[in-house]
Amino acid sequence: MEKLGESIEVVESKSTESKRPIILEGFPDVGLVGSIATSHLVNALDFEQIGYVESEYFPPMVTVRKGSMYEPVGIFYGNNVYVVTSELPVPVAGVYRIMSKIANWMKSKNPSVIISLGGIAEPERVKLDEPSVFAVPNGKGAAEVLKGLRGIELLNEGFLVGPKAMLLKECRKIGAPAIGLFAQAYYKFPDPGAAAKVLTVLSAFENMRVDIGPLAESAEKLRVQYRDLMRRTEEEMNRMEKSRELEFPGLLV
Amino acid sequence: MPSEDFFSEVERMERRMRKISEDIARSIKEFEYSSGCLEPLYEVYETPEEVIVSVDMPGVKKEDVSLEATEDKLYVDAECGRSISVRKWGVSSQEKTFKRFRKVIPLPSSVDPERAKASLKGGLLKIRFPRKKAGTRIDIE
Repeated sequence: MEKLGESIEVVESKSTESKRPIILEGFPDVGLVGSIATSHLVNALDFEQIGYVESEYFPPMVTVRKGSMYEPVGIFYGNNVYVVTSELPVPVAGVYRIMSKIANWMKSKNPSVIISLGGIAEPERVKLDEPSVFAVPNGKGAAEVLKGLRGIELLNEGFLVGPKAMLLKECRKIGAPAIGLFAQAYYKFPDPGAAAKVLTVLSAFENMRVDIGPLAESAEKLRVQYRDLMRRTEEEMNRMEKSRELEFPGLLV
Repeated sequence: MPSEDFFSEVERMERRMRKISEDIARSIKEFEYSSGCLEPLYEVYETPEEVIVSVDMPGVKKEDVSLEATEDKLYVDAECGRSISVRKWGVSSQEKTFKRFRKVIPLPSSVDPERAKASLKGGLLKIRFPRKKAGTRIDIE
């Protein structure tokens, strides 16, 4: 068992042997895009839970599913891919320390790239049948990886706020290549369509190719299921001033 | 440097906010389990001319939605496209089936409900209320 840190621990309960793996992060955020996408990927590819993130910043809880107990912030592994996904939003009070700890754990795996999946609020989302996916590389190494991805646009101007912003920043600080992939999404409503779009982009990697058909088929059910997590996430987004992502940067014009 | 009193006041405020959030979350669940109706997610925003409400009701059809509004409230009632069952432990029941969405949404400013317009696409209901005229236009000389 590996333990890092004091009040925040990344615990690996099963050992894995990976070689230059890809690491995905899908913490709850705008439209729960990352959560829905990583959850679908983990289930579709039958990845195994091999660890979890534990912290005093999270409420004291466990998840019970089909009679078995799971940690709500889980680490899954399969096909040389790690996935960090969560049934809890990252609380604003712990966002710096938690994401820094996770970034350091990710770096310890010597990843080829770290990919943060999320949504970017689009007020006119209802009019879009096909949301666009915007990418933010955290440096030159990550920008090289982007060249292999299709159907993305570079996010040229704007703010990123919250755990995903911190992950990209922390990864850059410690020299780990990371990309943010953000699909246009409903701000406060779970958006399985946007999640399907980021998974389509990820299908450039053979080991992460999944059928997104079931996401569309069960979209209505998912939107109902994810309501509670969306409400909790919205509270944290408000505390983090997430609406700044809709504003324009004013400096350095 | 901020004083200790400042930090304890911030902590007290944070605890109060958490308590309010928890009370709201619990009351939503109590409403849902006692009424058999799901409380939909919704969003309200204002422009200088309008109050715009979006309500997420997956699977709902236009003919199954009932909307009523006053100057400061919107009443939403809709039949779910298909009933939604949730399995859970609890004293009252282990399986609960929900057949409707229901919500009373407070509006942030006075509107003219007679001139409201509503649309529904992919289970997303959007209602645009013209704001009630609050004052008189002032021209700059």
